[in-house]
Amino acid sequence: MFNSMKSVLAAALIVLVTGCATGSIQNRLQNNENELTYLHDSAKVAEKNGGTVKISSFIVDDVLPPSTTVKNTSWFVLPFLFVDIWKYDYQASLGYEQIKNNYKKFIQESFIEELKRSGKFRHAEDKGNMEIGIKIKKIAMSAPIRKDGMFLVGSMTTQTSAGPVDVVVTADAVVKKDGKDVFSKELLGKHRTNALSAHYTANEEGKFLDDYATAMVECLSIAIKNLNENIVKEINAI
Amino acid sequence: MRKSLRRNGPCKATENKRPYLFPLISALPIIVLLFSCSSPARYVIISEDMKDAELRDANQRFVCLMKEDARDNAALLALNTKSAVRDYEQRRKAGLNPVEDVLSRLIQEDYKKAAELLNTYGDRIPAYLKLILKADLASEDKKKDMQDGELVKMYQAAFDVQNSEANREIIKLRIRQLRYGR
Repeated sequence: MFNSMKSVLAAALIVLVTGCATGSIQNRLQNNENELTYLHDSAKVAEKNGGTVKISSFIVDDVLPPSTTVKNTSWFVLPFLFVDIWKYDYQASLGYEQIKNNYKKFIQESFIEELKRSGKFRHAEDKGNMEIGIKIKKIAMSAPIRKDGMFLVGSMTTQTSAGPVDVVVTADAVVKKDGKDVFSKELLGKHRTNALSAHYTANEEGKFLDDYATAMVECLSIAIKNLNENIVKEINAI
Repeated sequence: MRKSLRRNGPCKATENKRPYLFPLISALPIIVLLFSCSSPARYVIISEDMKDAELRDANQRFVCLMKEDARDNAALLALNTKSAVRDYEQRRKAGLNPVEDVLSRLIQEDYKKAAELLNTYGDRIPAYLKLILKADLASEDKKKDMQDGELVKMYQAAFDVQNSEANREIIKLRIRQLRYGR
């Protein structure tokens, strides 16, 4: 009787403590600020003999919320007589306040950089043979975090794991030549990443979450890179 | 008699412990030194041939020399630990070539001197190496407080002049290290 009551109490305590963990994970992620940036590694096109291309419009919808949030997606607690087992799954969503630079400006500038690098067309500021319009309409991110643990006769072990981060950036690209649409397509930029490998001790959950916050911004950076490269490849094929 | 035994008991125990305690405390600096000797060096110079075997530790920064430079500076290669760097420093001779002079300061983590030498030698350091080192030394100079984006631009300049796949991979890893503060 006493043992079963103890188990129920322990389970209730765990539910309470882990329920509060949503807030602590969110606060930790919100305390980080990382920069959107990446290395352009596509092959350079030296001879731009495809004519000129002007970016007629570049619209980035409000695709990111202001602040990073963490939601509890599923959980279970198994309160046995001598042992309690629990598992909580969370999903983090990146907010632009956790990005040091302006993400809309970054997407546009990095695209122009990519166009200048790997495009067979020369980028024109005022008038071009072709005009391209781009609209970034969605950023979908999956950033799972898991907390599980076990309570066994007075001793408790907990573990936090996370990742991988998946990002998909969706854009509409329209290319016009002499006022007529020659290309109109929805294009995607994708990437999946894990935090840079490191050994974290049980007391380093904070550092682990800091690195995970970095991984979220890193993943978004590389997904934007992937999108930019895909758009330029498509334009080159026209 | 019993009273005095009781009183003396704990004191005796303390006396017995002292012979063990003293060597332990004396050995502590040696133990600390041993650990520090085997600690990994921050910068490791490798050659193109060694790339696959060496690129595993995300906390170390690798600098890859082209075959010719690696041949001329073989003593610098694969100094993985701080003790190996110290051994190299003791046996190295005066009159170093520009590449070895700069890299020897880099692996000793004397970044200020390495930056000075890099400027002094100018074009005597091959471009592929000079641009990576410039970016590395800027990232080590905490006073400059540069944004990651500015450093990435420096690494981009270095990336674009590389002829070897090994150095391109190293620069990609360096961008990740930069992000994660390694």
